[in-house]
Amino acid sequence: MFKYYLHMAWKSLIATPVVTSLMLLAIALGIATCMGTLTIHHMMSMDPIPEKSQQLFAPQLKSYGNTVTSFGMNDGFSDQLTHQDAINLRHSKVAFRQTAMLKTGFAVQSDNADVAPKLKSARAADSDFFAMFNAPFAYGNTWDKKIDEQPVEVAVIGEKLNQELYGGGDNVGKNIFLNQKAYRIVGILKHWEPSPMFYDLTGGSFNRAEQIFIPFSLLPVHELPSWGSNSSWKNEDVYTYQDKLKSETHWIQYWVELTDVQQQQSYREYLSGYINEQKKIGRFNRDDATADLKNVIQWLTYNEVVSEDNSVLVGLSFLLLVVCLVNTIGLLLAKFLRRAPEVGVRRALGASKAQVFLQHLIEVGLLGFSGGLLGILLAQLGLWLLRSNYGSYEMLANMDMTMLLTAPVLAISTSIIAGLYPAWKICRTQPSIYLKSQ
Amino acid sequence: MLQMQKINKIYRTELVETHALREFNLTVKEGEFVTVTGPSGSGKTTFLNIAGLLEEISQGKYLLDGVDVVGLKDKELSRLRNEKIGFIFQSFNLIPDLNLFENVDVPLRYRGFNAKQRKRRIEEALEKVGLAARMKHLPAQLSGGQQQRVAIARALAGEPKFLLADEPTGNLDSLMARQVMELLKDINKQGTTIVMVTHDPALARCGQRNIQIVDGQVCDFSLYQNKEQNQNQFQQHPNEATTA
Amino acid sequence: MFEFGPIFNAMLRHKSHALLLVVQIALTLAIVANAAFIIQNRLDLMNRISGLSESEVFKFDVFTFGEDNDISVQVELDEKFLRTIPGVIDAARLNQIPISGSSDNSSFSDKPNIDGSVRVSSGVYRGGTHTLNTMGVKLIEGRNFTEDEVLSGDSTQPVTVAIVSKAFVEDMFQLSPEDIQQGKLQQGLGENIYSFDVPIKIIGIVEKLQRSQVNVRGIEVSIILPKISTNKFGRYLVRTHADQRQKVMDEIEKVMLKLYPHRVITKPVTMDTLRADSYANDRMMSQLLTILIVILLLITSLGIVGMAVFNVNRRTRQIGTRRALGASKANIVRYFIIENWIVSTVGIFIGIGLSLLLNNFLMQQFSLPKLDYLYIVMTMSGVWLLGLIAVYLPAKKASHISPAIATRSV
Ligand SMILES: Nc1ncnc2c1ncn2[C@@H]1O[C@H](COP(=O)(O)OP(=O)(O)OP(=O)(O)O)[C@@H](O)[C@H]1O
Ligand SMILES: [Mg+2]
Repeated sequence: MFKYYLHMAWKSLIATPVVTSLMLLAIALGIATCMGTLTIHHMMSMDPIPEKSQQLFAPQLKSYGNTVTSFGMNDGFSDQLTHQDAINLRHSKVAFRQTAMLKTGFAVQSDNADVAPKLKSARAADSDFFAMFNAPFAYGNTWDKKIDEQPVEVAVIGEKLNQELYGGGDNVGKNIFLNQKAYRIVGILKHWEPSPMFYDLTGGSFNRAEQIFIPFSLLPVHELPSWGSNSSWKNEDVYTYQDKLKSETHWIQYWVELTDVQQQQSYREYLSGYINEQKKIGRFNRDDATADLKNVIQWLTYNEVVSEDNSVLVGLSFLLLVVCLVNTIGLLLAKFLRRAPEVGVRRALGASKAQVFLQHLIEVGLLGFSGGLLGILLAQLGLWLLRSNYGSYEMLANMDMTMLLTAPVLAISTSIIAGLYPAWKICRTQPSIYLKSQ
Repeated sequence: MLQMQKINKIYRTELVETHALREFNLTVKEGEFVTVTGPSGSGKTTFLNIAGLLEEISQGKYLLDGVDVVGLKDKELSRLRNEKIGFIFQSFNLIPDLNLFENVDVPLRYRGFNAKQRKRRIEEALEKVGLAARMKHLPAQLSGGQQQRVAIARALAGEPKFLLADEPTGNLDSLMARQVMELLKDINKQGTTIVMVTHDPALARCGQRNIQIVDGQVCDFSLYQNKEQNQNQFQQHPNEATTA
Repeated sequence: MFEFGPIFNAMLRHKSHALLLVVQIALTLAIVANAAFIIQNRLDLMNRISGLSESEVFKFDVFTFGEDNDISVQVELDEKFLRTIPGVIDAARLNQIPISGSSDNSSFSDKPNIDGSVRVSSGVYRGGTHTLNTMGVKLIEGRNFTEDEVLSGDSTQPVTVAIVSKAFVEDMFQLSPEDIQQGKLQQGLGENIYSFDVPIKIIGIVEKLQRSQVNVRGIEVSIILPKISTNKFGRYLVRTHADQRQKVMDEIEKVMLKLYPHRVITKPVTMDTLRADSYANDRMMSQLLTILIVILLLITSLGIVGMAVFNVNRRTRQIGTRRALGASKANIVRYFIIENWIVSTVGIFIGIGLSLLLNNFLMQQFSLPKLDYLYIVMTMSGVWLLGLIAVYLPAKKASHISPAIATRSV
């Protein structure tokens, strides 16, 4: 019977090619718009490290002085730490892993000195960085933990840079020249691009991960400049790099890995202990000086990674889908009711209400399915246009499996909802009316 | 009232060219009641359509109430239809979305009467066909005969000089048919010219004059004043007589 | 001769058809009005004037990695050299470039102690005496810096003078537009403002100078301090004759490296590029919303066409009958247009309400401004016109239905 319905649905659809195309187009456009905006929304709000997002935490300190009324984010916490605080927290042994970080940059050369140096961003971090954020190694490994205390010029580089400078392959042991200084390559990463780049959101949420990683302990040695945000609430003379290291400037990112609830509790206690200690020596002089811990998901929300614009677009495109839906209901209703005499005959020949209803629903289901497929194609086209016009959307404007599956489901359910009323209306009509003359 | 000279009507379709009327000549005087008979496909409806300005003629001359209608613009044709001609169709053609009152109202609207005039005429017309009480009903709520009476009321409401009817009783039983005929005779007595196509020999006799169309031409021009002649006439087409 | 009554009654007998179209038109109006308003907002943002003579300037960055020279000396050499390149009007080393996206912001107040005084957050430019001329901003009050006032980046002395934007003065001294009209702007001149407790005297006021970040409040609130940065990473702004800009840009890397090789010179970019990058999100938003509007209007007009075509087909016979009863072609066209007009108008009026509701929601949930009623009016007329256009062809087709249909059809 289902096959018969499908056959009838198909015949009915091609019997009115213009109206069928209109409905198909409306559904496809509605689905495409929704899928496009939803894809970006989905990618923006995606958990960049699902296996660990509940175990990685960014500690925050509300540490600004009582001479100013506000500082940092809206809640008075800063999204970064001072160098002093970062160094102090680094001494604690409570967390399973931890890293202080700074975005910096160099004039970069391979061991071939003839090639002109290129300006590239780099990240100074601690040896735990890679294990914490699940950055996979293709060759070699992170640097020795001792280097976090006793600086040595070593580097881990990304796949892309390895390709660019050395043409790929295992280049562990070779030198990379940063500002003309030799750094020994100890590890080379596989492709690794967390999106959003949750571990440092200060320069934008969807930047690409850096391709060079060096020990954080090199900061004072090479006076590594910050290529990120620096903010201070205090009037202090900062002339030299040493001044800056000791200043109240917030410019260091900090992450800890806390494996279980107990460890998280201990770390919270440790942080409040640290606050009290700093209060005692008079550095934190606010009464409401406190600490906070946010996991990756909380961190993304806190930093408003999903842009407001995108939410507006998602909302508007769903309204557009509603318009498509109403449009389709109207056309289906017209189409079905025009067929009422035929249905009258079918009913007189013994078709039950349920059968008539089902027959029409299958027709709209078929319509919705085709509309959904067409919608996916249109959405892909749109996303492709977006990617080629806006570089920053290269990673965001991609449909993953979830989205690919969502589209037909959305399309079919939309059109079934659209078809319910017309199908109900037609199966309810009195067959006798249409068997009468006229 | 109506003067047709050497009218030709040709339907062209992809496959065939149908000469529906050829060298068709006919004059109908004011106040006449003419019935039209003839075999199926002979061109009766075509003649009626042309007489009622629903279709254009391919060749020939047609004067309606002294006006040469060949080459008139749509707007003028519409006005003539609206003011001079009333139509009664075999299949009623009431507008299903409109109730009886509104259906009868349709031609009056196009005529441009004011609301009061329209109301009076509609009520009168519906009164005449005995359906004034059901003014607010939709056509679907009426029987076939009632529907045809509404259609007649609609044709009469504008007080046309010229009433065209294409098998007005084709869908009705004989009792209903006779009632409708009585109504038409009444109207004719009040001065309206009527041309009616029918297959029913009994009804064909009701008119003052019967013409026969065969193969797109007026075949016989006799006045039927006695039954015998009538009977002879129909014996020539025994099959036709039963199709109604 | 109008026939509202019967048309309206006939429509009421097919309520669901008319109602669906009404809903569709209302929603369309609401979405389009709001989307168009957002687009206009973004376009307004993008079209704000930076104050610079944008067609004449470009910027590039310098990153020095060599350790064998004194950057403050090099900066002076660079600046002098740049100014001698044919086609160049002026050049300056700056800490940041307007609308480039990087940010150096600071708070200033009108009194040395914080409590009870006005605090203004401002974009901070640092540069020498050539800054104004290189930017091409217009000095409307006071004077430029003198060479003596300009400090080198490694100097430990505090700056004592500043040139500020008109918007800075308005904010700091809380001047209303009327005050400005009455020439009170001058009052700011010679006043001291404070960075923490360090006094800085305002010696000049420029008409307009946008900040580096574009998505901040008070985008025109900026201050120029006479100090030339000597970081390893520095930015240069170069002003050329407009027709020679490209030529200068093409050779800038070569000549700068010739002057001193141990550094990286980034690709020179024009203000147009900076603007495009800084406003990429706004541009994208307005483009996407435009597409949304187009799709929406397309669907709605197709919907109107579709319904009209269906109505024509459904009513073929009654149209023929009407024609036989004396309706002219124009009458038939008018019938459909009036019918559509009724639906559109009802839809539009509901749509006005929906627009306001939607805007209200957007205002509450997001930082969107209040809808300008002009957009509703404009969209209203647009939707109305669209409806007429969409229904015209089907109506025209209907008018060609032969009246003979009435006698032929069964
Ligand atoms: N629109 C048309 N296109 C082509 N041929 C047509 C058209 N209308 C009528 N004809 C042809 O013209 C001829 C005359 O038709 P008409 O309808 O006038 O016959 P009729 O006398 O009314 O027949 P009946 O008694 O069966 O109603 C027929 O052969 C018919 O097939
Ligand atoms: Mg006929």
